Amino acid sequence: MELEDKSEQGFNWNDLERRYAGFIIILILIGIWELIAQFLVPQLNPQLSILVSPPSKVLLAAATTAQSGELLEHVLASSKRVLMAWGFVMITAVPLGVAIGWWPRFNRYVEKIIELLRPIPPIAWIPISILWFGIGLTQNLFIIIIGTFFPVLLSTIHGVKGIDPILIRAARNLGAPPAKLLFKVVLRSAMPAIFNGLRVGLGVAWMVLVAAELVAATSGLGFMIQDARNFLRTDIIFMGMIMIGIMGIAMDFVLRMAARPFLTWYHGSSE
Amino acid sequence: MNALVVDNISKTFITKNKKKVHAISNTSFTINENEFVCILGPSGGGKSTLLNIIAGFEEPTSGQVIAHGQKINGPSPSRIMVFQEFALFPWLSVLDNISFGLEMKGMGRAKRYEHAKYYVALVGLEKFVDSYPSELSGGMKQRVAIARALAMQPDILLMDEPFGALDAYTRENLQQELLNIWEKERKTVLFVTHSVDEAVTMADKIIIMAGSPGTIHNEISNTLDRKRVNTEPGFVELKAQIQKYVQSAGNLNASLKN
Repeated sequence: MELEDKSEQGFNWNDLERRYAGFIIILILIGIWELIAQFLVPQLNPQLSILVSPPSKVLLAAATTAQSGELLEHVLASSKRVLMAWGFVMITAVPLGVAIGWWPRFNRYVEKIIELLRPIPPIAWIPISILWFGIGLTQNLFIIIIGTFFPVLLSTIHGVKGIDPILIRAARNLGAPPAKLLFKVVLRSAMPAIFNGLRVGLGVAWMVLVAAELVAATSGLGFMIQDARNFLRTDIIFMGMIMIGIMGIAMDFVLRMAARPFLTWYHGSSE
Repeated sequence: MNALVVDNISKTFITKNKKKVHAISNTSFTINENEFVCILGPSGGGKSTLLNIIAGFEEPTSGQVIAHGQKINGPSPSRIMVFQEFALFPWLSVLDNISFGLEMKGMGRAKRYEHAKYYVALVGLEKFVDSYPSELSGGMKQRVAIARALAMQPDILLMDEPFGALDAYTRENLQQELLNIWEKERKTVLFVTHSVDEAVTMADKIIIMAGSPGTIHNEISNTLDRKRVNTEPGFVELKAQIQKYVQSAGNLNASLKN
């Protein structure tokens, strides 16, 4: 066996590479972007350079808007909308999904209407929702709820329907009355699927939020980048786009950490 | 009083394409208190269906099951099933799995854990109380399921090929352990198997069930001394005799079909 043990060395390239490979690529790409924006584009056509802000200017835009409080204001406005809509979906779509998954009779009544509504893209609701609610919070929430509702609903239904029937037999055999069967067995068993739906839903919420804010808001990150377009501030546009990505990652991270104690049994074997 | 009376049970299923399937016909037998009874027969002979009816998961088309003088009516903690697939709750630790039924009974946490720990020790899993099922081997999972069943202190333990998913070595170990537990706890056990060896090793009484629809062909009492070894002359003789019965049961069915 020729396997060398490198763990004793103080500095280990393999280990470093494994951990930071993804970040290295990002840094390299940012470097290339900086070079192109700073040197190549102005030489080709100086008028175009305004369309490709270099990362240094994007960073500067982040710093100035952060200092003025403008960035925080937009981040908070967007986060508030996402969390309100997503929270609403959590307390409506999850119970509805459990009911649909658990009671076949209920499923028979609502199955068709869900099949009909589900394929309509949330963005298609924007025109009618502006007419109904005008521009602002209610309209934004409506759009995000429409977009988030179905992924959460479908995952929940899937999770509840997917429970191993033998577990239900075992639980009934051990004396579980109907309510306990639902809460202590069915819901627990569906938890990974429900959580997965909520995670997907949170991602979709950010997507549709930005779509809604682009056309029907006066604050938020979507509004900020749309507004910056009018002033040709591509540095702010890039900064806003990156910020949306970062917020998505951050919320996903918080959600995963919050769910961890409930899902140790599920992840325990795969991690 | 008999622990269990199966009285002229028949079961007919209607399949999705509206065909009638006769799973069991006119099956009767009784089980005495603290008796270890094996139902032996080939796969597809209606053994599992019969056990599901006795557990109360399914209803017979005709006939009735009487447990301790009461006609059964749905599942009950007095008749606990141990499944071949273990059927442990994957989100609960070993201790919580074993306590599940006690919690359903309304027993407080401290009390049910104390109670459950006795059964954890009985199946030798003291070191694994906090483990989740996914962290256990098949044999350990089935021990948990047995402990969970015993913790309910059922009148009768129903076991549906409980060791069928285990390797031969683990199976033999668990057979011995189950017998030790049975001698200690003195339970009525109804144990379904398709292994003649297993039936001869475990049972006081062997019920041979075969055919389609399944029905009972023989009842053989097994009076071999406990701590049975499958190479002893008595064991070998009984096994040969049972194999002959199983074969003739199969032939009988074949001739009926023709």
